[in-house]
Amino acid sequence: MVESTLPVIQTVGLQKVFKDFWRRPRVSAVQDLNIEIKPGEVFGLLGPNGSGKSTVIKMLLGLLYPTRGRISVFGRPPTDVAIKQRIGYLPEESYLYRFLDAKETLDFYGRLFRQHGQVRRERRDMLLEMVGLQHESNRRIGEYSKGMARRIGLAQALINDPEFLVLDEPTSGLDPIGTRQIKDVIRRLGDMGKTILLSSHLLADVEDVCDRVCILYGGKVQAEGTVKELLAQKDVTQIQAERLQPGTIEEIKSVVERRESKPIDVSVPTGRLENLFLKIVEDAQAAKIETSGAGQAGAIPEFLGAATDDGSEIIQSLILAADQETPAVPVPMSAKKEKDPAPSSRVLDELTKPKPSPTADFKPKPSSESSPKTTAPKKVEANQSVIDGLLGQENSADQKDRDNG
Amino acid sequence: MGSIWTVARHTISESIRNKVAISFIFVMAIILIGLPFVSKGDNTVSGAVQAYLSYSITTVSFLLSLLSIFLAKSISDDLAGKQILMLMTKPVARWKYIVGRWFGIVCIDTMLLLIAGVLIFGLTLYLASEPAQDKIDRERLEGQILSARHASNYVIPSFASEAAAKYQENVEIGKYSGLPDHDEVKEKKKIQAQMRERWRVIWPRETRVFEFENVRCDRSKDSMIHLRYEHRVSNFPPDEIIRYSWIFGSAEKGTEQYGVPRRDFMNRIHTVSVPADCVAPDNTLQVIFQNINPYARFGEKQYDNTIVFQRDDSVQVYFPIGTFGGNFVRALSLVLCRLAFLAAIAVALSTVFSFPVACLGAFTILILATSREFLLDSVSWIPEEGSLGIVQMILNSVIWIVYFLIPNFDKFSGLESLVDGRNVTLMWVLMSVGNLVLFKAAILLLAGCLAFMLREVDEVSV
Repeated sequence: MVESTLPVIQTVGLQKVFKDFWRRPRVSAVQDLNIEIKPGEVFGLLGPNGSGKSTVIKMLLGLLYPTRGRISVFGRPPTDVAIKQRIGYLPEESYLYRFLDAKETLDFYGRLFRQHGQVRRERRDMLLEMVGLQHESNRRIGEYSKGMARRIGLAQALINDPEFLVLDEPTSGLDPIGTRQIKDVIRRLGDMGKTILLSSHLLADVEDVCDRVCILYGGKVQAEGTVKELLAQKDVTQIQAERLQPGTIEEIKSVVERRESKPIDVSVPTGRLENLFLKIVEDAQAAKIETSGAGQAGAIPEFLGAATDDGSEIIQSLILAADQETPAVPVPMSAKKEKDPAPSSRVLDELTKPKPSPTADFKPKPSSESSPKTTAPKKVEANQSVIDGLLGQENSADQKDRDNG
Repeated sequence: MGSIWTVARHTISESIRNKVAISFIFVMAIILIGLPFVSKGDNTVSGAVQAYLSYSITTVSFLLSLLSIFLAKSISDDLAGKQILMLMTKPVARWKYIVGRWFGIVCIDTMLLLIAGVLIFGLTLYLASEPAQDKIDRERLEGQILSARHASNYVIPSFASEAAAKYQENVEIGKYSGLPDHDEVKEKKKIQAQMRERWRVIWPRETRVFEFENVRCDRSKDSMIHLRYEHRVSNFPPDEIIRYSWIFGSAEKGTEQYGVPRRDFMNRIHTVSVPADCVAPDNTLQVIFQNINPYARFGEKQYDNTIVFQRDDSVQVYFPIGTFGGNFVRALSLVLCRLAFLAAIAVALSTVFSFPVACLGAFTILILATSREFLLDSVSWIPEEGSLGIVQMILNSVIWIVYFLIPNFDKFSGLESLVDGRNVTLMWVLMSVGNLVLFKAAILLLAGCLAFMLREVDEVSV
């Protein structure tokens, strides 16, 4: 097991300068980037539009060549064809062939991995079921909505059961169900020990699934570390409980004021729009309302090493989690006395300033939901941020176009 | 081979889905089926068949040339539409992708050429089954068009000993006495060449014996051989009809002999057909040309005209060695070689340039290849050496590369032979495969692969 000790990705002094027609340097997209991704890690590459995320990813995949610096992928140069056997890639948009249907698309990519007929067909069908497109699989990709094409994009990235999965803005263009599902898939794949590189400007996505993140701005690393490290606010305490009587709250307040002489803030969190949305769709699917869009998502295929559960269970578990969240009325109590935020969170704030988006939209895993517990404080505007996030998914594509244009 | 074939297959299904191939089949079918009904010809069946073969194959190879160039667009499309990002992150070597695209185009060309070939072959046979105008028409159709004939050139006597004798004579009469440093070998060669040239000229009332070797045909009375000749005439009669006769066969070798008196229009190509039993068992054929009016004894005037057979192929004997079907297939194989070459050009250009540029470039090369001789004539004004210095050197090397890389398509077209019922040899086909596909197309593809491996497949967006 020499492999497991080797980093999957290692870059040393990576630099990319774009030159114009006369070879004059124009834009410095990436500057002196040193990152290392260890096996089994879910690594998040964060940054606003145009911060060089896609450029880094494309260099790691050998699609662009670095101006300076060194890259090794599985200990090999990124242009090595053999390592591609172990990589799955979902680009920032699904660049699929419009004239093929979903089945043919997956078939084609399967063939490129030299998979044989039976294996290829099985994987194809399992993946189509996983992304919920098994009933639309005979339609041409050209007729698909953006989100549906995105799902096929994800399916093709998984067709070779990759050890290393590169997802460039995987949730862009997806509806909340798709977003949830992709996050779920990422988390599950991460649990299975796969190495995942995830890039996004939707911070909630990254925070939900990543072990370690790296924040890029202007082609430079601004912060790097585990999510916990970066987000911990060590001088704030949060108390969460089921609905309390006003008397109890007063008593707690008085205790805190007497013992610590600090003011506290008491509020009732609202449910998340994401959960509401999931609930409505679940009801519609139960009522068998017809849709030409993506159907119910299915199980993660066995060949990826997933447990055998069917699609409705995933949705069910998501809904269950949502239901548990909504009625439970935890009382976040955050001490008002806020000192300067940690440097990492200042970066986060700075990055997110132009487009308000989730800052600390931390959502506990469904399993550890029921019991009240103490965690780092949540900002209440997280709810607003989900809405922003939802809208942002549509807007972000437009905005990206504008930025690129 | 696996990934190459996957990419090739993808290219084929792409062309079918995008209705490119289908529309080409449709256009081809309309032209091929329509042609026999609109082309007039000279009212003979043989003429109609020849015209149809010639026009239909020219049209098909032109259409498919365009298609080959056009299909290479798929590479530019992959680059522009970024599908290449998904392809190049799969275990497919870049060169395999390029070769796969090329191979896919060649497969499409082969399929369409096959369809067109079946149509043309069927319609040719249909046209040939029309009642012939007369016996000559029928014979011409069967013997000289729907056949694969081999051409044999005559053998000019070497005149080596005659030249030596003449040289000796010259020495004796003291012709070289003033030229002490003349070269004996050169002089002899000069005399020999003069004699051979003189041999081609047949004076009035003179007789010339043409010897043909390797006439390996079926020597039965039923099979026919054909003498095809073209002459230049001086001192011609006012009606411009030249009278002379050919005598086939040799009494010495015990073959049948056939005398053929002729009245031919001057300065044209003529064909005489005789039974093949005039060919000797050692596969030689003797044909005697008599520049005497055979009709003189019936009171016609003897004009003293001189006849010249200028080139080595001015007199040729044709004998059948194969079928029209085989010849047809070989002629289409030559077309396919040219298409494979064009596809390689277009693919190589598409790895670097975007669609319109690559397409125009490939189209320019198609035009250069079809009219190479003409175009190279037009640049020959550039002086051979020196006067322009470095510019000259660059220009010359560019021209040299163009000359080297761009084949002369005329040399790789079997159409003229096919229409004339001449054998398109297997050797010819193999040479074309070697030259156009294994050599030139391979060089182009190699260049394309290199360019593609060196380039970044995505543009940067920051």
